[in-house]
Amino acid sequence: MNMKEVIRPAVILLIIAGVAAAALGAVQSITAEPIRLQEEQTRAASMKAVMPDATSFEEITDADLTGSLTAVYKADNGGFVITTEPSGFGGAVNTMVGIDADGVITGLRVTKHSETPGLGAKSTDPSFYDQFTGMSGTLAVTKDGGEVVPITSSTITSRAVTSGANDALEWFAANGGAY
Amino acid sequence: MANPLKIIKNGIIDENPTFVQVIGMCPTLAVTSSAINGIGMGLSTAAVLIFANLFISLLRKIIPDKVRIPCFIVVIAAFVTVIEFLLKAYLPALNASLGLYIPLIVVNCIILARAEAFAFKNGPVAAICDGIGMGLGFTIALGVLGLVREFIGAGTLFDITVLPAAFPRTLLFVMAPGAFFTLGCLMAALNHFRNKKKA
Amino acid sequence: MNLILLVLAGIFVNNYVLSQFLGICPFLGVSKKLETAVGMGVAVIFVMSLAAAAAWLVYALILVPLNITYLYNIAFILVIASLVQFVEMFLKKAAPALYQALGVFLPLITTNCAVLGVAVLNMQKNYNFIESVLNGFGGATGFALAIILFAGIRERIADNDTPKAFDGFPLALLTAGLMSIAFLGFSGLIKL
Repeated sequence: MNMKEVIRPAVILLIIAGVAAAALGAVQSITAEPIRLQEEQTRAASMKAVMPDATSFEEITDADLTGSLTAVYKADNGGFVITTEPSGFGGAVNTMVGIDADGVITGLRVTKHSETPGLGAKSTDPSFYDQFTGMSGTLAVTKDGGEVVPITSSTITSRAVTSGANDALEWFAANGGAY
Repeated sequence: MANPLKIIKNGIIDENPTFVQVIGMCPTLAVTSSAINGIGMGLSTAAVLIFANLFISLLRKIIPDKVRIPCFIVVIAAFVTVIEFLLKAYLPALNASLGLYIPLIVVNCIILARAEAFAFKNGPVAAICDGIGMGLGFTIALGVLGLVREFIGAGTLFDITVLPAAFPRTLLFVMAPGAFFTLGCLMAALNHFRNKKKA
Repeated sequence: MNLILLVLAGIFVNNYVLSQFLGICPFLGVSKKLETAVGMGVAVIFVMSLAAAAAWLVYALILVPLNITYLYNIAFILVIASLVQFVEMFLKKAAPALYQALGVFLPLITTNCAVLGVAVLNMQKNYNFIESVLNGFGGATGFALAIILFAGIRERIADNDTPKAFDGFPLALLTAGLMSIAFLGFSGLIKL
């Protein structure tokens, strides 16, 4: 095998890879803005759902993320929107909790999960998450002596969501005044 | 050049990637828990397949034989990434429900197999037809699987409830085992008809 | 996060084949004989742990510093393809006996979506280097366990009289479905 036979294919492969990378760079720069807008919109929509009274939210980047917390946002009405990631039955259950300035939950949503369809997945039904609105202090499911009514046959998922809400409430109790 | 319609029909029926060739099984089983997801995945794959086929066919005289597989992979991966960007930007809900399986279109054996077996040996028009046929064949298979699983498992078709609430849902069918069962039974049914036809 | 649990979760709870549908092609294709299934399983464990490490290094040391993370898909697949090639050449020279046993399976692994899947998942979950490698190892061991059990069952089925329409893939798929139900029993066992 002479050198020409080795170099030609390598150069062509390199050119194709280079062209592909350049094209992707171009597509990336075109779609970057719409993607950012979409993500922002989705987040803003779910934030408004857990805290209907607020109009704008700003991430607190230096917040001390205790427990299962993943991010904390300060709302313009003095409340906080806190995202948590407690462990459920099939993995992480991403929950978003709105807490007003008095430490009362204004709303809760499960934003992403991999729970069993038809069982734990019912955590995305209003019949489950609406009961959290208005609660405060430390929460527990009825089985553990609290007032959160768990989803039928899905105590683990219900406990996970409850513990996510608790982590958020705890953070608020400890740090809420500082921001 | 063969008749374009014939090439398309070949992909949908005679050499259906899912039911006849049994390739590209991972997305087939993974994302068909609802009809919408199945068709969304099918169309995304079809789009990649058509463009990858076209480009590989156009480049077939330039690409050296020795490095053709890496070249195919680069072309395919580029189009998959483009699709990923477009879905993220304009159909975020579908992107979220297909999740990991979008980047994994790269290793869907259908695309590499068509590049190697068809696009690298045929002109661009035929290659596009092959992409359309195979893509549609794949989309139909995924759509049918999704419909069956969604109907039995959740009592809905395209998210519209069709079974009365009193009718029990077999949840197993929207979970992992249901994917295997549904595809297994559909293939057995097709085998049965084919055996009968021959006899 | 407990690293041992991460491995156990990969093997049992989030089994790549039976609950996440990654690596189905080799799972169905190379499982007719127990012997080949063992070979494939071992080869996948080997390559997937290495690939998880290599993909992590490429992502953290090249893609992130250069701000071109959008090229991750091309980068990962090329890394995996060249890694497989390299492993093949290395084994041929250094361990001919092992190469004899695993050689035929190595090229097939490039298109095993579990390998690319592990690389992408590690990136999406922001795992560190150790977690990534262990996730790859655990996932691959889960794959090996599934394919070996599956091949054992298929060998027994092959000797039986089954309905003609179910011959081949349909029966294999139903078997996999039953195994998947069995593995459902593990879900919820480990919390990560």
